[in-house]
Amino acid sequence: MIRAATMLTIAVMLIFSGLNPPAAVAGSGHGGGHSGHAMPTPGAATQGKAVEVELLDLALVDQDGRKVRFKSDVIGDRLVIIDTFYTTCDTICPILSALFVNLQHKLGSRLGRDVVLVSISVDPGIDIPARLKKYAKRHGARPGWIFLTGGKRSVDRVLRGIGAYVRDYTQHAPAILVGDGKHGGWTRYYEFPKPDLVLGRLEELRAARLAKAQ
Amino acid sequence: MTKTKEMSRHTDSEQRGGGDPCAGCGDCDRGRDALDTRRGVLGNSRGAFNLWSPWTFIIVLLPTVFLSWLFLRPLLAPPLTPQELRGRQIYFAGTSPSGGRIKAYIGNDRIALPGSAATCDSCHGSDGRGRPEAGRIPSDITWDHLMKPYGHSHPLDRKHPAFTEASLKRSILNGHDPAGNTLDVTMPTYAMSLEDINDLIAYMKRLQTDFDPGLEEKSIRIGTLLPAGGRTAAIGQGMVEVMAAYFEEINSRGGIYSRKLKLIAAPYETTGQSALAGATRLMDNEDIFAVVGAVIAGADRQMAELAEDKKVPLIGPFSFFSADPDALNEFTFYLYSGLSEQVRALVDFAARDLKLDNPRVAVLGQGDDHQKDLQTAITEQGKVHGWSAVAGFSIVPNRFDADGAARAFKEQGVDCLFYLSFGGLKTLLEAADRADWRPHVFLPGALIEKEILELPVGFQKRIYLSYPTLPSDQTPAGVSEFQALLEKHELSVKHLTSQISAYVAAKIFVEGLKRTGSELSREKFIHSLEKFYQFQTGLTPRVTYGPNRRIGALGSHIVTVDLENKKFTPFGDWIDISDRG
Repeated sequence: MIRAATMLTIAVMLIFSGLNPPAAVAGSGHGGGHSGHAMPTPGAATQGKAVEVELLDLALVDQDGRKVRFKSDVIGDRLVIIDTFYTTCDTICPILSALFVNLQHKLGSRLGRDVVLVSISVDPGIDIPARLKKYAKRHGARPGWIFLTGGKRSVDRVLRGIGAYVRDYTQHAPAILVGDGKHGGWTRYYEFPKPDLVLGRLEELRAARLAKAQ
Repeated sequence: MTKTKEMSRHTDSEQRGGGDPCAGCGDCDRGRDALDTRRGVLGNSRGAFNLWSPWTFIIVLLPTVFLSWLFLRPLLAPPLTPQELRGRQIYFAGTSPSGGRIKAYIGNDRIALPGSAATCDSCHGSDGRGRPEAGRIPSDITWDHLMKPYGHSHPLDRKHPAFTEASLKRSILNGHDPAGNTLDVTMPTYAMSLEDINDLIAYMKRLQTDFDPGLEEKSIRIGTLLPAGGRTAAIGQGMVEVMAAYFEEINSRGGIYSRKLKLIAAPYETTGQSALAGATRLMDNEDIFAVVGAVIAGADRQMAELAEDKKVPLIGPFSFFSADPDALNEFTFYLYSGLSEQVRALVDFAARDLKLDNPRVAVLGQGDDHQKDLQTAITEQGKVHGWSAVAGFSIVPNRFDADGAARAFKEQGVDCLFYLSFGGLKTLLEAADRADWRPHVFLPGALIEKEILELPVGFQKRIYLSYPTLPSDQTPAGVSEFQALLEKHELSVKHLTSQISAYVAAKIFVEGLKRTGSELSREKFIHSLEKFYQFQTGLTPRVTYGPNRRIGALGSHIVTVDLENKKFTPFGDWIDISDRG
C-alpha cells in the first residue's frame, strides 16, 4: 500500500515535472507527462492533442555521424513524425520503434520525400552515432527515418522545445508527435496510437497544405 | 600485501552471504507454501493436537525433511524438454517454432505488431524478474512468484489472487489478471496457437532455473583458447597454467557465490583459421559461460564477431587488433589498446608533446587490411590536430629501393613516418641517413625487430614506440600477489607478458562476477563490467569500461630508443585517448 502510494506520488510528480511550457500552453493536462505508472483510462482509445512546439535549429548528430540542424536540415518543410527513445531501452522504445517500422512500411516511397520519421535519443551521453546506427539497422530503418543524438545540452533543448524533455531519461513518456515543418499543426499522441490514426493526421496536414497553396 | 588481505576478506564475506541457501533460492517459497497448506488442512480437521502424538512426525518432522530435501536438491534441473525449448523460443524471440503466427496487441488501441517486436524477454528479462525501464516496472513472472498463494499487489492498488496455469494463459491472451482487472497498458495481449501457449507456459515453469550456458548452481564453466603448435605453444601453456592456478585459489576460498570456477582449455593449431574453428567448437559444444584470456591474435576481429554472434563474453583476449569501435561489439572486453588505438596515441603524442604542426605524414606498410585500418586511425586522429597531409605507401620490406624512397620522401618534405611492417626499418633509415632525411619515426612496439637498436645514431630521439603496458604499471602489491601465485603452484615464467595478460583477464573476470552477485547471467555480468572505473589490476594500467567502451586501458605508453646507449627509455606520461568520441 505504501509502495503503491509512493508510486502514485512519483507518477504525479513526474506528470508535473514532465510538463513544460509549450505543452502546458496547449493544455495537454493530465495526459501530459504520461509516465511512471499513471495509467490512462482502460479501454479509452488514444487521441491526439494539439500542442504548441518550438523547433530549435540546433546542431545535432545523426546515425551516420553527420552534423545536422534540427529545424532546417532534419525537419525542413516536410511532414514529420517524431518519437523519443534510447538504445538501451528494452521495454517501451522497441514497441514505439515497431510502430515506426509499421509507419515506414505504410509510407512507402513517401518516406524521405515529403515525410520523415525522426527518433531522438533521450540518452545522448550513451547513444553515440554508432549506437543509433546499430539500432536503426536492427529495425530495418530506411533513408528518411532519421535517428538523432548530439551534445546533451543541445538535445535537451530540442526536446524541451517539442515538449518531450524528462529529467530522468528512463522515465520518458511513450508519445508520438506529428506535424508539418512548414505550417505547424502539431499533434501529440500518448502511449501507442494506431498507425492509421497517425497517417490520418498526416493526410489532414497534407490537405491543409494544399488548401493553403491554392 | 594489504590489498591481498582486503581482497580475501571481501570474498569471504560475500561467500557467507551467497552461501545461505535461502538467499537466492526461489524454491524456498514453494517449500514454505507447502508447509502452510498442510497446517491449514490438519488444523481444520483435528483442531489442537498433542505435541508428542504421531502427528508430530507428520507435521513437524516431515515438512522439515521435505524442506531440507528442497535445500539439498541441486537446483540444476534436467535439460529442457523439446516442448520447453519451443517455449524458450517464444519467450526470447517471440516467434512460433511450429511456424504459426504470434501477434502482440499493444496499447488501448490494440495495435497489432509481430510477436518479435514485444518479446517476454524484452520487458521481463531473461530471468523473468522484470527490469524497470521507461518508467515501467514489469512484473516478476518467475513461476514461484506467479503461483504465490497469497496473491499479488501491484501499484495503483491492483490486487489479485495467485495465478493458476489457466488464469495465466488467460492473462497472456486476454490481458486480465486472475481478479479480472485489466493489466497495465504496457503489457500487450498475444494471439498464438494453443500449442504455442502451452509451450510457453511449459518454459515459464523452467525459466527460473534456465541459467545461461556454462552456469550451474555450483559451478561456472569458463573456456579459453590457446595455440598448441609451433613456437607459441609454450606461450599458450603458460597462460593456461596461470589462469588455472588463479581459479584454483578462488575455488579454495569457496568460489564466487558458492560457484566453483572450471577452466576448459581448447587448444588449436597455429593459424587464425584453426583458432576460429576451435573457438566455434568451444562456444557451441562446451557449454561455457565466457571465454577468458584466449589467444586470438591472427583472427582478432573474426573472433570478436564470433563472440558477438554467439553472445559469449570474451574477456581479456590476447590480441593485436581490437574490434572495430564503430561495430560496438558488445561481448568483447579488451585489456589493452590494440594497434589502432596505439597509433592514435602516437598521433596525439606527436601533436601534443612533440608539437608537430600539420606535418607531412607518410604511412608505410605492406598494403594489407591492417595497414588500411591503421592508416585510417592515423588520418582520423590527425584531423583532430589539424593534420591534413597523411599519405600511405605500400612496400615489401627490404625489397624496395630504400635510397630512392628516402630521397623522394625528403623531396616531398615528409617529416613524420609511421612504419607499420615487420622488419626493413634499418635498411630504410640507413638510406635516410645517407640522404640526410631525418623524419620522426613512429611505430607500435609490437612491430619492432631486434635491428631497432642498430638504427643510425642520427635518429637519436627521433624514434618513438607505443606500448600498451610497461613494467612501470606494476604495483608492489600486484607483483607480490602474482609471484606468490607462481610460487605456490610451482609455475615457471614462460612468457611473462602473456602470462600477466591471462592472469589479469582472469582477475577482471572474477571481479566482474563478484560485482554481479549471486544472480548471475551474461547480461548482468556485462553490465557489471561496464561499471569498471579505474580498476587497479596491480600489473597493468588501470582498467575502465563503459557502455561504449570495451578497451580497459585506452591509450599507450611512449618509449623512445636511445641509440647511443642501445636501450629503450620510457618517454613522458601515459597517453590517454579515451576523450575522443
